[in-house]
Amino acid sequence: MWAVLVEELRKYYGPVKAVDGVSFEVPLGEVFGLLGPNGAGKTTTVETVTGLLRRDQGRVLVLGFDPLMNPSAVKSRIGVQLQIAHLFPRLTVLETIRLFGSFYPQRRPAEEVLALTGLGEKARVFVDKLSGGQLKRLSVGLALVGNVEVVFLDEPTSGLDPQARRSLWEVILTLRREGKTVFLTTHYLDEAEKLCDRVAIIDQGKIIALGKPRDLITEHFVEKAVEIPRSEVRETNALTGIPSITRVSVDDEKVTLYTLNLAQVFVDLGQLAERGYLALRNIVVREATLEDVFLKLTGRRIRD
Amino acid sequence: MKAFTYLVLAHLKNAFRDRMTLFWFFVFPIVFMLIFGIVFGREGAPSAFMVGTVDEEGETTATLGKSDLLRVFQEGEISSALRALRAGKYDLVIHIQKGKVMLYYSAQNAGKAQALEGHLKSMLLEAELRREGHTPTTMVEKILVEIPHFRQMDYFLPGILAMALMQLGLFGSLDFVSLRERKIIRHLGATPLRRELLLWSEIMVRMGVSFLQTGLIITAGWLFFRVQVPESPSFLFWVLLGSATFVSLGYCIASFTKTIESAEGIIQMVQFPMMFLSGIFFPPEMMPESLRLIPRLLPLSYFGDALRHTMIGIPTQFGLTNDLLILLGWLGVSFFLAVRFFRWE
Repeated sequence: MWAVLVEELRKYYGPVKAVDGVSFEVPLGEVFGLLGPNGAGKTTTVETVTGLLRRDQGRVLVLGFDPLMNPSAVKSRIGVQLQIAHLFPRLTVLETIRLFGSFYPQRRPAEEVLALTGLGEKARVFVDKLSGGQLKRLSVGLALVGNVEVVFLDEPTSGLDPQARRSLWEVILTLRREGKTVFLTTHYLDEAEKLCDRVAIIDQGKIIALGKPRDLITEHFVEKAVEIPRSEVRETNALTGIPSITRVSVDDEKVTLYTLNLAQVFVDLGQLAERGYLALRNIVVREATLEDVFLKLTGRRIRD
Repeated sequence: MKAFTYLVLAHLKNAFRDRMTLFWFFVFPIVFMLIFGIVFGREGAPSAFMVGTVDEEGETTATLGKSDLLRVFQEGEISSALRALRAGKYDLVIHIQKGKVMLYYSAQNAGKAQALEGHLKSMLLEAELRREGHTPTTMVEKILVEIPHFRQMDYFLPGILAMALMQLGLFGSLDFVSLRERKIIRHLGATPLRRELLLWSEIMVRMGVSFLQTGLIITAGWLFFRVQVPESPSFLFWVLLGSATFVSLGYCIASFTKTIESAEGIIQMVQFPMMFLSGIFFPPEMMPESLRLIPRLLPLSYFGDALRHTMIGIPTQFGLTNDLLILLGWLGVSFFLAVRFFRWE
């Protein structure tokens, strides 16, 4: 049985096709990432899958149940991270966790939720006194109080400082160790690469790539990436037409070259540098990443 | 059931931890009562007439002094007596001369002058009769009949209670509008919680607070103004009915508004005129004729009327049956509209 099964899901807002024929399956115990820029349809997908939004077309099964036909069977077994932590602003963190726990047939002990989300020291603080990052962690915690089988986290780390992000990664890794299914949306590619067993890249309401992060990268790139700061390249046209360079991508910060033959590229770049087309002071060689995959598939960077 | 208990506790904690909420629910009605009581509550036995006399005969003043209606001060000269009258020390000045009694008064005290004129005439007549050797054959005897006397504060206290319960009911729905506006209610739809429970727990807490307010206002009324504590608990039924009506009206307004600002505006528009036109603070007879119809349309009038009668014993203005029917009508209509047009999102 799939934890989540989505077939040909569509949700239109008038002429806007927020989700336009999306299909994927998430097996039990997997950490699945839905990856895409803002406005790509990630939140709409999560809300239709969890039954918060009515879909226009398609089939959705969560743990074998349709969330619209059988909402109670679904809701008691999934946890969704939402902006509901400040339901009662003058309840403490601990009281809020206990309150939400009372909604579920099975509960995770409140102390465990506090420990998981790193809010132990804030247990007796009123919710309306929490910082943005702490509220975010609490809202993740509220998705876990039910000791549920599938956890949906919508942009759990956006707006968090690096340290808070890392501690949330730990939460997700703990859930994976517990055998929970995690469905997570993000626009941080490094996060998806590090945490997710599989990712689906969504853009303009459609899934444009789906698979294990490593597979997606090797499928689209056997090349290595070479980055040169944009300011050190005088003539970008000079880089095209060099046989050792398979692709060139230029943005405001840097020029990225993809190549199968690193040694030859350095020879070629050396010649260009001698002729004054570019400088080779700050050159970086790296493996291709999901970011490169997204760029190749859409022609844009994910945070544009 | 477990979720419901947790929700009720959460509502209570959330409300009682907010100073503003505490102020509006519990301090404001008391402060309002104190101010109103101090400003309008000065009352008591009708005050005695302050009378200055200049007596050139000597007998009449002594007789006058026996009347418990009058406090008599002897003056030597009419000019000084009149100065004191102008200064407001006396209500009236009597100048008694041979065969002539002059009564000086100011326009403000015309009524007292009239009363005293009758009193003086009969006194002088009686004295004359006695001098002639007659005794009056017909005596006037005063008999005190006990009818309940209601002070301004007695009238006012049930009104404050009615007002407080109305405000609690109407403004209470704003919490819900705010949760709805911030999409918290919508998002709760992803949890197994039945959202009705959230609403019912809120209503239950509000009704509980209503009874708490009732106890507080009655206690304060007794402590500060010796307003009688209701003898029979039947008024509690009216507290329940009135609170339910205004809670229902509050959610009805919430159903027809989108934002917290518009809900607040509409509630103010509803509650402000109601406060002043429902005759809860002063008898409707004090209102201009042209406005008399309005109280007859407002639920607060009937709520106040029933509370005055069942708490203090003041005769009802509309009759308890009418109070009941009209409050039930408002409750029914507003409940129907609130349910019919209810929006979770």
